[in-house]
This record gives sequence, C-alpha cells and structure tokens, in this order.
Amino acid sequence: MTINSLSFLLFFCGFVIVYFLPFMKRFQWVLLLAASVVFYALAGSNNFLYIILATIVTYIGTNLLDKKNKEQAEYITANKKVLPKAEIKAYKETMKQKKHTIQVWTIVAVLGILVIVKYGKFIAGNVDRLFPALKVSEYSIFHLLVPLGISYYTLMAIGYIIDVSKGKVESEKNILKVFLFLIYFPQITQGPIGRFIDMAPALYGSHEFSYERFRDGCQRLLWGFFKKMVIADNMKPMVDYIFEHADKGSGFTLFLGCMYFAIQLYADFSGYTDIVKGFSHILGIDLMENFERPFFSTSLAEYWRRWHISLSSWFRDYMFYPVSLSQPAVKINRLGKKFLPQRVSKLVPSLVAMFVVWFATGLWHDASWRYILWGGQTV
Amino acid sequence: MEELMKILKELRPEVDFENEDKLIDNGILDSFDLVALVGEINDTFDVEVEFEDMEPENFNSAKAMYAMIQRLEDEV
Repeated sequence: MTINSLSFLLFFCGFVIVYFLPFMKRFQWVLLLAASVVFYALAGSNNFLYIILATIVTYIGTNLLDKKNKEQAEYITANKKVLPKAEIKAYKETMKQKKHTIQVWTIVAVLGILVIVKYGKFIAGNVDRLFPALKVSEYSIFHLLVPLGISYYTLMAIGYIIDVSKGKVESEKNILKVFLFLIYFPQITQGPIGRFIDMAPALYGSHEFSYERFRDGCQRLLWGFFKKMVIADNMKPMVDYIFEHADKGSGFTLFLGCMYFAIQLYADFSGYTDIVKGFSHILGIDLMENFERPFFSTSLAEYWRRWHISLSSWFRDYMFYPVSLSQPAVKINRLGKKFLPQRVSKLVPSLVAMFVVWFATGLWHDASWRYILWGGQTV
Repeated sequence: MEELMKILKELRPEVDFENEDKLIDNGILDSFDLVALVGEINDTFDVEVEFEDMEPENFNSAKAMYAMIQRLEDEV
C-alpha cells in the first residue's frame, strides 16, 4: 500500500472517522501508533525488528542523557553559591564527558543498524574487490532486506538523541510514544525528517475535528496528487525513453531529458511531501516543509537550502556544525590563519565540514559509488 | 560590544547589525557566516563557542551574541 493508492485513501478515511470520535480523544496517539504499525506492515515491511531495536536504543539513550541533565541541573542549583567556580566548571566538564560517551554509543548503535542493513552489502562487495579471498559478501548478514523508512527514522532518532543531550528537549518516558515518533505513518516512507521538539506536542496531544484543517489538508494533498500523478508519473516514460536511448539522441534531446528529469524529480518528491503534509494536517499534526520553490533560487547555495529542507537542515544542524566546530577543524582554521589570506582561512572549517556533509549526503541517498561521487562533486 | 560589532561589520558590511534581530530566522547569516563568526569570537574573546551553543536564539541579534559571549566568559 503506497500513500498515493486508492487503498491508502480508504484506509485513511476509515481512520479519520475513528480518530475524531469524541471518546477517542485521549487515545488518539494510540490510534496513530496502531495505524502506523498497520501501514508499515501493509506497505510491504513485515520486518519490525530494526525499527523496534532503534526505538529501544533511542529510548534508553535519551533517558540516560536526560537523567544526567537533571542530575547536573540539581547539582548546580544546590552548589552554585557554596562551591568555587572552578569546582562547578570541573563538575560540568566531567558531566559533559559522561554525556558525550552515552550520546556517542547511542548514536553508534542506532547508526550501526542502518550501516549493516543498508550499507553492509556495498561495503562487503568493496572489501571482496580488494581482497577476493575473504569472500565477505557470502555472509548472510550482508544480504538483509532494507526495511521501509530506515534512512529517515534513523536520522530522526539521531536528531532526537542530540537534542536531548543538548538539553533542548526532555526525553520521552513512554517507549511507545518514542516508537510512534519514529514510525508515524504519513512520514515513515519518505519523510519529511521531523524533529521531536516540533512534533511531540501535536503527536501526543488530542485534536478535535476542524473543518478548516480538513479543507486545507485536502487542498494540499490534492495539489500533491496532481504534481505526483499528473506531472511526475506522466513525465517518467518520456525521461526513461530519452536516457534509455541516450546513444541515439542529439545533444539537445539529452539536454531536454535532463531538464525533464529535474521537473519530474521535483514534482514527484515535492508532490509526495504535499500529500503527506495534507493527510497529517487533517489529523492536527503539521509536518515540516520540504521544498520552497527551489527552482526560483538565485544561487546554488540558496537552491540547496530550498530543496529537501528537512534533510539539508538536519545535516546542517547535526553534522555541519559539530564538524566545523570540532577540535581538528579549529586547529586547521588556526593553521590556515598563519599561511592563508584572511578571507580564505575563514572558509577553511566550513569547507572541511562541507566535504564531510556532502559525502554523508551522497551515502545517505544510496549505497553506491555513484552517489558518493555525486556528494563529492557537489562540494 | 564594540569588538563584536567590528567582527560583524567585517564579516557582512551590508547588514544592519544594530537593529536586526532575526539574523538566523530570516536567513541573513548562513552556516558559513556562523562558522567564520564563531572562529573570530573564540579568538577575540578567548572563549569557546561549542556545538551546544549553536542555536538560533544565540545568533539572532548582536545583543544575543554578546549575551552568549558574556555567559561563556563567566564560565571560564
């Protein structure tokens, strides 16, 4: 069952009726969870193991981090006036290290599942190419089916872990609510990559039926259906034909093929986002915007800020900043100041971080050299 | 505050840092600006702006940046 299928529309209509029944108000999040589990199974992923594992790891990690945050806040409140500043600072530093260890291991565990499931085959294939005698590819662990939405919910989980560690948000104490955050059915297949801090109040709150929301949600999803099913799906055969016969077409035809593909990709992905945002809006849960008319950008940098926003902002907040402010980047920056012109040296940490981010973005899209090189050349 | 204004003016001379209070929310400063700015703040004020401090509310205005610097100086 896909989001743009008739069966999903019927499934959603039935769900909305139950969801807005007056006596269901308190249990709306439970209904959302039940519907998400059903959708996940019907969408073709019978393997719940990975998402459940990711939920358990995220739940334990965030609650440990939250405990440390509270411990630290209590200690500082109790001792701020009694202890010397240096001692408080040393305590903060110790707590920072402890939190860092928890954060790193939680992220490694969540990311580890993604790496084994999605990239295991690719890594094993490359190891075998270098060392054919090892025959790593033959191990069954490297032939697992990639579960639905794993690339999306893994990033959502990591973002949540980091936000709790930073003290931006408190951890959720109910593991089923964490599970709902990761598996929420309108966004599990293709995002947007939501943030816990933004989604939690609406996701776990209660909502009354609103005609305005219903009307606006329907408009948005109909617009999405138009973009996806009328524009993108009808352009696909044309684009496929041009590229399948690339050796026969003229330069101009290939140029048109590229342009068509850009439109097809935009209509498909942004249409999909409109559909899921529309469905979710009806339920009272607003998802993040993913596209802001990217083809009207006046620079390449602006284009990337307006294309797949939930992904680019995720990489900016959770990878670009940590890398560009890391000790190695700071050292490179100080070194650059000695030997490079001021304007160039200021850019060095950002360029180092950009390389890491685009490499990861490429890898996130697909486990192949094609995407790794795409990430590399985009820098 | 003067030193901070000097850094900001050098970074983006065309921006009205005295009055602008949505530097991040309105996309006036981008991530490259922020990283360059943090490098300058660290060196000039001898503080360490960390990943934990990279929140829009700390960089939306010159005032907010200065408050963050003072807090960090206080922690040293």
